[in-house]
Amino acid sequence: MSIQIVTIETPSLGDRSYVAHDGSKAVVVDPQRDIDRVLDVLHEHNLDVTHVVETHVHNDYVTGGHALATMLDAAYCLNADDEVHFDRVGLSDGDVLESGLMRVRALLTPGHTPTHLSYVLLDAEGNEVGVFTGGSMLFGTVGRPDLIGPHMTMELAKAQYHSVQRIAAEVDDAASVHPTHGFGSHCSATQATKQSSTVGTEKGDNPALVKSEEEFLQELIDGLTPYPTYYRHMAPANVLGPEAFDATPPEAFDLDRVAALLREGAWVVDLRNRRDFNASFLAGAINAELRNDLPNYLGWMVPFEEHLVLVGDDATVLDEAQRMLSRIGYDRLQGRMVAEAGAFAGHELERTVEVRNFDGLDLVGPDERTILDVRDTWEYESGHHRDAVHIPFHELPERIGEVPRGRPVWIYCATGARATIAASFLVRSGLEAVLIDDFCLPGDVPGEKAVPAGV
Amino acid sequence: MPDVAQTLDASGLACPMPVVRTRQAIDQLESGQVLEVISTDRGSLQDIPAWAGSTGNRLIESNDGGDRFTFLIEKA
Repeated sequence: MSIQIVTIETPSLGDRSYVAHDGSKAVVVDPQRDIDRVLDVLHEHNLDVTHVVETHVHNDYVTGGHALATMLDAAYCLNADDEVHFDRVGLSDGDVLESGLMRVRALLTPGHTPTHLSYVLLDAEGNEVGVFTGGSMLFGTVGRPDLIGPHMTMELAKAQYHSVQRIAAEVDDAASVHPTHGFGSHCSATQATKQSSTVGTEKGDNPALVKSEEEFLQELIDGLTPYPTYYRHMAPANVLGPEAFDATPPEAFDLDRVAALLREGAWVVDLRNRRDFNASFLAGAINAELRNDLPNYLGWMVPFEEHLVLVGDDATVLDEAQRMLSRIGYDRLQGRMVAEAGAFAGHELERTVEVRNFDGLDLVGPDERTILDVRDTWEYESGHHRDAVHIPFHELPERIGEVPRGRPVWIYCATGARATIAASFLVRSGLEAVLIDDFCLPGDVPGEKAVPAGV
Repeated sequence: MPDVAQTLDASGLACPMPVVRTRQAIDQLESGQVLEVISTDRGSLQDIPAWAGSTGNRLIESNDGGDRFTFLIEKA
């Protein structure tokens, strides 16, 4: 049997994990914390895992690597220079692992992190069939170099250029490329649009392979967008050898219990859709719809150490949110509540938020409202409402004091997704919010008194 | 099933990019032509029908494949 690579997608983080196998033995690359998905693949193909390997100490998720390797009694492999608090096999550049008919060669590729490894996969004949590139060579882009800290960014960006060049020089053109990041992940410098690639294909369009080093560095550094604040908690968690995802639901809370906790300032995350939420919710709850961006956006808004309460309209949604949040270490759930339609009607803490579109602004005078644009800076600069105050979504918690008080705040983003979360955050902060559930895509200039891009 | 004039694969893109790319693709079509959109962003299930509705383009079909979502939109 030839060597197979099974991809396990995690769209909510824009990441991929992999199981490489020869039909009998398997190597797992960069598993997420919910290792039940890996176990399903192993079971389906009847595989015996010899090694679990990490390309780097991850910054965007809690690893399942330690838990998986421990459970299966497999070797857990990281760069020997990664300082971790558990036993593992420390790898150096050029080390080769044997797994059945497969060979896996470690390739030092610093850039995304200083100790990043890629892994070249070889078959029994010594052909290089694939390369697991983690956060180095991505599809048409590279892993971002700024997650370790601003003092390291330029050095890592330069290293990244040479690492991607090294992969291109040393690995066979026909080898398939299997990155961990780049599928909507904030670990990617830009968003990848390809679904598969080879080393040869990347030679034609990867910026590190078609641009000069100077040009590459300029574009990479200039193009960096904000990343979620929860990222800074991931590496410290990962060097401790985190436990696997626990799917056991937290305690079922009733309305009184949730309300009492809200009065004490607890963080309640209400997963219902924005129409249902804004028609009736409990004051203080944060509305985060069950979308792919849930972990990223919640990780920006809710302090990492908090013990959350989840509210949703059915158990499936609550289960899925628990899984998504656990992947980024938000596993301190104190309870959950299934909210039937009308669950909060008449309650002392019940609130509503008006949901409008941009046309609704015509009905209120400029001195009767504040308009808040919570998009990223590049989006705002491409065109915006003339009267908009701009506070990027991720800066809202620390800049909430800048939002004028005393009149309704009309909030918008590109699609309504970020504005929905932000509106509930404003209500929690004691402001009056109006949600503009409308589109303002890059280049759009909403409102009558619009200004063109660049103003 | 209507004739699909163009398919846009927005897999792997995060909000708001699936909608942004959908708009770009629709802009290139003639009135009455049909665009197929593929997305892996669950938010697209909400955003793409809403965007079609707000722009007058007709959503012919929306499919929830669990982790892969497809849409057919007829340009107004």
